[in-house]
Amino acid sequence: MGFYAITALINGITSSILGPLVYLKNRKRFTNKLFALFCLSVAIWSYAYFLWQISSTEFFALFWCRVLMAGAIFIPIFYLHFILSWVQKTKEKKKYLIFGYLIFIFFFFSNFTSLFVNNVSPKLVFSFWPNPGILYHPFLVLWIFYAVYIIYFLIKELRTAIGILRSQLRYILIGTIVGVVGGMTNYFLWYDIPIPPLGNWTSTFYVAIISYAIVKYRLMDIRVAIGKTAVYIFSFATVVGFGLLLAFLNNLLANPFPYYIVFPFVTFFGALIFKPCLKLYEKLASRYFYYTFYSHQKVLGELGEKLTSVLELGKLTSLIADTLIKTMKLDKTGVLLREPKTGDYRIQKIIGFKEENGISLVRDNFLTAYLQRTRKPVVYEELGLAIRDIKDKTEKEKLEDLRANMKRIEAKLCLPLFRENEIMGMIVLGRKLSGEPYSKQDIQLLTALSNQASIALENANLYAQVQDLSQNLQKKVDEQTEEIRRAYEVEKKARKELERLDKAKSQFMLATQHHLRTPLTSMQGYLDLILQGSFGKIINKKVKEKLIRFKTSTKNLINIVEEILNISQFQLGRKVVSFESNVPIEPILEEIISELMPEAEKKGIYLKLEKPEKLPKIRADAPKLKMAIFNIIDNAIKYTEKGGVTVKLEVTDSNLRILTKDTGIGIGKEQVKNLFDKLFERGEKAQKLFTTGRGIGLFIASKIIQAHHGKIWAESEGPGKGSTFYIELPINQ
Amino acid sequence: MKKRILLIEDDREIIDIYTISLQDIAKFKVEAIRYGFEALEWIKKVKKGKAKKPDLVLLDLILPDMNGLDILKEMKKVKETKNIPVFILTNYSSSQLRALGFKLGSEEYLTKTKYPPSKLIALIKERLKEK
Repeated sequence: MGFYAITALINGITSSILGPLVYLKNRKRFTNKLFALFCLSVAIWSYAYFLWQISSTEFFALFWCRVLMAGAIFIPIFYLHFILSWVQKTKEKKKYLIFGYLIFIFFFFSNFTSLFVNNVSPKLVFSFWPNPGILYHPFLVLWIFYAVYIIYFLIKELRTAIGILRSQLRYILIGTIVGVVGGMTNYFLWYDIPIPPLGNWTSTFYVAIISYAIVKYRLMDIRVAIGKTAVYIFSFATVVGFGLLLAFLNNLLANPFPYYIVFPFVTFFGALIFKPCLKLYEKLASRYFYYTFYSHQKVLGELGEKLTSVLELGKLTSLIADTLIKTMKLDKTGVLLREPKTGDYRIQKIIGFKEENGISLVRDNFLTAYLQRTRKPVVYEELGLAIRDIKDKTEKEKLEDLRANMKRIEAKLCLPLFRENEIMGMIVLGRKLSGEPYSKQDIQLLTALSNQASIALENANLYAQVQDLSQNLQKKVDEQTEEIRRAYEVEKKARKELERLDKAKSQFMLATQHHLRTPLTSMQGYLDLILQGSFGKIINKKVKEKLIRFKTSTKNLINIVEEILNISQFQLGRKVVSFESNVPIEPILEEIISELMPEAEKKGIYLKLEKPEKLPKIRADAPKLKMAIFNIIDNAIKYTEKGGVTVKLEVTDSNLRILTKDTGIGIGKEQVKNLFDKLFERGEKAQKLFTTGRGIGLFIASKIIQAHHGKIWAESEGPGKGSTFYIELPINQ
Repeated sequence: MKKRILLIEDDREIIDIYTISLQDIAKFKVEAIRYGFEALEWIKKVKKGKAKKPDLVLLDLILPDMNGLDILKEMKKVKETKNIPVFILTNYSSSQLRALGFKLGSEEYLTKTKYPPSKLIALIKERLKEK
């Protein structure tokens, strides 16, 4: 088995593994299918190449040559189609594909005739080397054309590619150049040019480069599959190796245990240690190669779901930062939120970064404005390209500053968080521990995650505001409650004080009444008894006269005291009246008339009462009402020198009216207004007529009538023309 | 037969004035009680038949040991005293006290200064005549 056979076999094996892995990674993705087809072509070519190399007869050599060409024919078109599909330019280059497929299908069918591969013959060290048929020549031209075109296309794409794609394309290009150049060394001998296919081994190199791109730059993203496969292979190898070791030891010790015991034991033991081996190798791969055996898409997808259930801001930002750093194996991460009103950023969670470094990114508003405008993450690797493309000098400088800053603080990605088209914050990520750049898929996933995170953070913000509000509200409610309670206490105290005061007033009134009336009662009583002769007859007329005057003065004093006590009650706001229902008014008036008649007769004036037959009963405080009416009639008598006083009762629908009409001195217009005031100034004539009058009686009468919900007023045509006093009392109260 | 007047009053001068008036002028038989507890004991005695019922009671509101309205209440509770006419005779011209007095069963509420002995005697005679 020669070198060329071995290299062909290796190519075949690697293609056979790579193709299915890529296909199984995503069966629905057309790019993956195309890569699998390409790998199939390479595998057919490689295995057939191997078999051709080990063929011992011309027949089989020719056969396998034709088989390997069958694979080789489709290599360029499948590869071109794969590249175009990968960079999403299939439609653009459709004509190349259609033409390519048509022509290479034609060549495929012609491959099994001598028109394509004519025959085989010994060339250099090879026993059987194929000779071209007539159709081989155009095929070769087209094959080279497509190979060169692929390289040209890849170079063109590399110029405009950014980020991870750029790195991937770089390696694809290198691999393609190496593979094409190496593979083309196969064609010299077809035309008897004595150059052996030394470059054949570069196909292996090409496979290695592609594998490297897969591993390092997530090409075809089958890292996880490769990793898992490797771990399983190692685990299986360990179990088998251990089993073989036991069997070897048994053999070495001259078979102390028969095979029917050793075999089941080894099998059982192997099954037992397989899983622990698997876990061990997974752990090692994770630690030393930063392999994650779970797709971080899945973890981040799960994170998105978890985000919706966390409302507390601190927990939420921790969840985001912790999950990102663990899943994507990062060295640093930070979550910053922006105050909508001030635009200032606050660090919510930071791992690995220094606080001042995190804030340095947003110190000026450039990054915020840039993210607001571009609406996509800022990737450190791509900033160079962005700087190259910008025309504006100021912006160019700003971007350069940003790039320098990101480099300084070792930030590799700034992911914006949007709320209603406004930036509400950002997630800053450091580098991956594996050293890999962020792939297109990473960025897509992070962008999707950032949308969910924005919503979750907004909800957490609102929740915090509601919490704050409710706490404030609770505080305000508590404060208000406390205020109300304090106000209530104050009011309660005030009420108690008022009650006490009221009680004190009552007590004062009662005490005053008692202390004033008691001696007066004695004075009046004893005078009465003396004048009645209870202590012996009064012989001396002068003494008797003086005693009568004494009695009169005492009576006056009693009247003054009564008036003062009555006013005091009104002044102190005491409840002066105590109503009774169905009080008849005639007896009250008849009593008053009876009491005042002597005085009227003494003055030689009349005093008469006119009343209708039926009079309604009213709700009144009889003694107080009597006092009020008494004062009015008494006044009328006092200020009448000739003629007399008529007391008339009238009934309307709702009122009982008591008129006291006199033919007395009358009242001036100005005095009528103030008649019922406490400090009413009596006219000169009134003062002369009733020198001891104080004008308080009318005040007391008006208060009593008001307390009865009635009205009292006076009318007079003027001095010397008499006056009429009206008292109106409601019938139905 | 002379009418009996019970005067429940603590002031000695008032007792003196009213006793002289009612006895000497009106020719009533007057008995005076100065303390509330004495009045209550009197009620018990009347109940047991150990004291004579008066024809009328003149009741002051403020006594040294209790107020007159409590005595009035007690009188109205006892069968033997509840129908004895009671005139409250007081220095207090409170409408509330007046209303309360009537509510508890007094027949008159008289202020002392307004009802000197002569006027009081006329009122008592009027009342006892009806009786």
